[in-house]
Amino acid sequence: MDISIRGVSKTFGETTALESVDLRVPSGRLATLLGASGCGKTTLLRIIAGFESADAGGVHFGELDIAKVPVWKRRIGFVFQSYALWPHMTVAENVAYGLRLRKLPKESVAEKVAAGLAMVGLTGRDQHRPGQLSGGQQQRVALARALALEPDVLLMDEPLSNLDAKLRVEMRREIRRIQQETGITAVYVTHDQDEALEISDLVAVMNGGRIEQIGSPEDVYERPETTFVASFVGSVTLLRGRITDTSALALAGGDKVDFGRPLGSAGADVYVALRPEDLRIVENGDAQFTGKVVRSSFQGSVRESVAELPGGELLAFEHRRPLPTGATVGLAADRFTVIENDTGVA
Amino acid sequence: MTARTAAQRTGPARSRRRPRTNWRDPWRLAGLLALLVLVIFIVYPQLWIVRAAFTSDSGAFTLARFGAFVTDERFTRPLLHSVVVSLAVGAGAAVVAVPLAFVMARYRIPGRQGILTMLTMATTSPPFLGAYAWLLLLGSGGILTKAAKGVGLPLPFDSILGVGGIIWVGVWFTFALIFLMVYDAFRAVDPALEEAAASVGSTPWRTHAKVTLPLAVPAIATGCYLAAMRIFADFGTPMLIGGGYQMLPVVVYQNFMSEVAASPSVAATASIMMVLVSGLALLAQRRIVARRSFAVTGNRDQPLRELRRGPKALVLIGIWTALLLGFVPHLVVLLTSFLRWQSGILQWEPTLENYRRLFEESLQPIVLSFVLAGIACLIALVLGVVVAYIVARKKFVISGPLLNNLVMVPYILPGTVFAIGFILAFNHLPVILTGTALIIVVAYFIRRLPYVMKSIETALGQVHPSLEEAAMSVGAPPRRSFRDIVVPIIRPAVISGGTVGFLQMITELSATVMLYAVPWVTMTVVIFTNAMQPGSPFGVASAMTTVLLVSVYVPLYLLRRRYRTVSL
Repeated sequence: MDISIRGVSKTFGETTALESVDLRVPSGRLATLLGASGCGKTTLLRIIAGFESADAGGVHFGELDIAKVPVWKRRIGFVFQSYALWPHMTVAENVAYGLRLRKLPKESVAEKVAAGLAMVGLTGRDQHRPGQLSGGQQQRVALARALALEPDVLLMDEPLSNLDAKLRVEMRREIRRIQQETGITAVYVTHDQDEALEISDLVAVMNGGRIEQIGSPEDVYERPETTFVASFVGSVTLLRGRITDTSALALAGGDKVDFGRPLGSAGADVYVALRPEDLRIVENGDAQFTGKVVRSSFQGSVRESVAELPGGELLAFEHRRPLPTGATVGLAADRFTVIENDTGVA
Repeated sequence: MTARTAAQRTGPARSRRRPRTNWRDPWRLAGLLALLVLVIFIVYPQLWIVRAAFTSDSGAFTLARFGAFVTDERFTRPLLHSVVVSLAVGAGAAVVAVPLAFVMARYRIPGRQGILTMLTMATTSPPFLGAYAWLLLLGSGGILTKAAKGVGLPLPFDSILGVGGIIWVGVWFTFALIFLMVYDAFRAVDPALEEAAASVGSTPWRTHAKVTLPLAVPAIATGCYLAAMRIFADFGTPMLIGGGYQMLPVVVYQNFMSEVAASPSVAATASIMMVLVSGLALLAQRRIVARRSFAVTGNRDQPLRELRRGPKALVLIGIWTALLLGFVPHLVVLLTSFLRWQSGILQWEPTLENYRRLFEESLQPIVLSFVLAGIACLIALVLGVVVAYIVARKKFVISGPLLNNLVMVPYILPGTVFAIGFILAFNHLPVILTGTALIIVVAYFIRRLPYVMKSIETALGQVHPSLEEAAMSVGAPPRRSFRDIVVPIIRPAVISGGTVGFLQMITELSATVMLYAVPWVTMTVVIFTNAMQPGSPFGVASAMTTVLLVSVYVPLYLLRRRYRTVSL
């Protein structure tokens, strides 16, 4: 069942939460809504679920316009940030509640509950109360509950943000596995770019109530279309300047950098986005940038250092060998992205 | 939300648009009904009081009644008395309660759970019980007064009648209330705050004075406010043991009920003055609490420290003395209910005669009290759930805030004022209730509604909205999710709020005594009338008070056993 969202807008009092948002999630795919808090991603998810209604625009599940379908008839599964397990029911009762509402025969309810708990790896915990489980286990129950009815779409609102870092990584792989096994269409809200990049078929980066870019994880990382997307997804240096002749950029600080490849039409004001891993230390003669190392930090697999260019711009780059602060380095960019669309930085 | 045409969809989003009112939401209708009930039974009677106070005998608008009130000693003196006695009781109860609460909160005291249970019990004792029992003990013909005379022991006073007696009874009636609030506050202080003070060189005593005590000030202020207001609004205590010492509720009652010179307008004027005072007191309490509300809840419990033997004995003596004095009334009533009385004089002979007479002659008031309080309690619960749910969950623009504020109005209305409003409003068309049992039921549930509603609202605060959304997402319509999810989770709060409401209704006197009409006589009215008449069957009154105590404490005990804690 594919989900299409057309021109959805929503305001709360004076604040605009969503501004004419369009998004299409193909059947069986997982799309993430990625953005900082307050960007409208949760509001959009809640509109898809039916907890909020859009002021304008519409949501379709397949061919069906669901504007008039109330939440309880939408055939959705929803996983909440706070888990929202019912504290007065056991784990099994939590999962079974929706099935019992459908008046399924007892044996078939028991069967589906057992299968659901097995899928999330919680067999044997069915008689526990939610309060007796760890956060990760509670979120697994919430997932089993959301999937027990075999809904058309699965909606997840920052499901992992209350878990610790290690469990978060484990659980997101688990969620991806289950989503692919069941082949369900899913929308996943998160502010964590690693999470979005790892589990998604499709990432929609949101900023100020709008979707800035929709694309595969590779697209949004490698080919950001706006400064916001470039700075929100991964770390980046954005160099601002004017294209002097097609391959050279006059930086705001006065330096001139030759990128060796066409940047665009001369005279245009653009940003060049440089990922730290795309910069390489080179001999002075080959260097596109020469700067002084102002700080350097060891991060385990790599070091990330920052060089200050003569014009004052700061350039982050990765390398392996230690570098003393104050040293002069020459750097060359293997890859870069030219961005014309300035939407601010995250 | 309605479906939109393509034209609307592509058009610019309208920037501000209030969601259309959904009249199909059953909570809308329930909210409007609740609002109607509150307007009829809270606003309408108060308007009658205002009307009576601001119109002259010829029917013109006047302020003369207030002028007359503030210049007439017959009213200014009781007003002053009421304020002074209330402050004295608040202060006295705090002096007893705060040090004991501090010690209990910080040190290992044997029998802690029992002590806390007894304190909870003390806070639900009937408001007039203390006065009645102390009168039996220390009245001019009281048990102790006579015994002292018999052995030639001089007492420092003739009898307990008078201002001293009111304050004495008031302090032992209210100290448990302050104790429990302050105890909780002392327990909630994050130990890290005190450790921080110690780490910068503060001595323990200095830390307690500069850190711990200030953190408990909001609780102390709230406790004192509640204690003072209990006495300020209490009619039974000053009526029974005031002697010649006049306090406002009694004056209002006498002015209103007197058969020769009944003056509703004067009573209405005095009522407005009473509401003014209790409103000001609430304002003062709110200001103190608002200015000093800190986040004191850390994630660590206060450790209980050991006390040396000497101080520990001292503390135990203090606690048990306070408890004993708090429970003297209960013991006296229980004891005298099993002793024979002859024309108002106690004979030291054990007997069950009092109970036999009680059940032969006065079974009806007992049954009636249960029925009236029971019905009122159920209505209060239903209305409490409706109002609490709308206030906590629904974003109704007009009816939400209106309900939330209206429902709290009875909180500052003394029972006497409340009753006067009811009589002025409901003794004529369009609504006639006076003389019926219904007026007592309505008075009970409206007066207790603020407390019931607040306890349910607090419980609803624990039910995250996502719990209901989760139920909807798996196919439960709102009504179903309310029944299956919300109701079971708030059930303990509903039951305990309902029980406490029931206890306070069944012990209500100050409004009942003005509203009742034969044959609708409650237990409290019977006890009160007996206590007011010298030579009346005190034994039967004591037996009935014992029955009243049993009907209060058995439910409370069951409740406490089932839910561990009860907040009043």
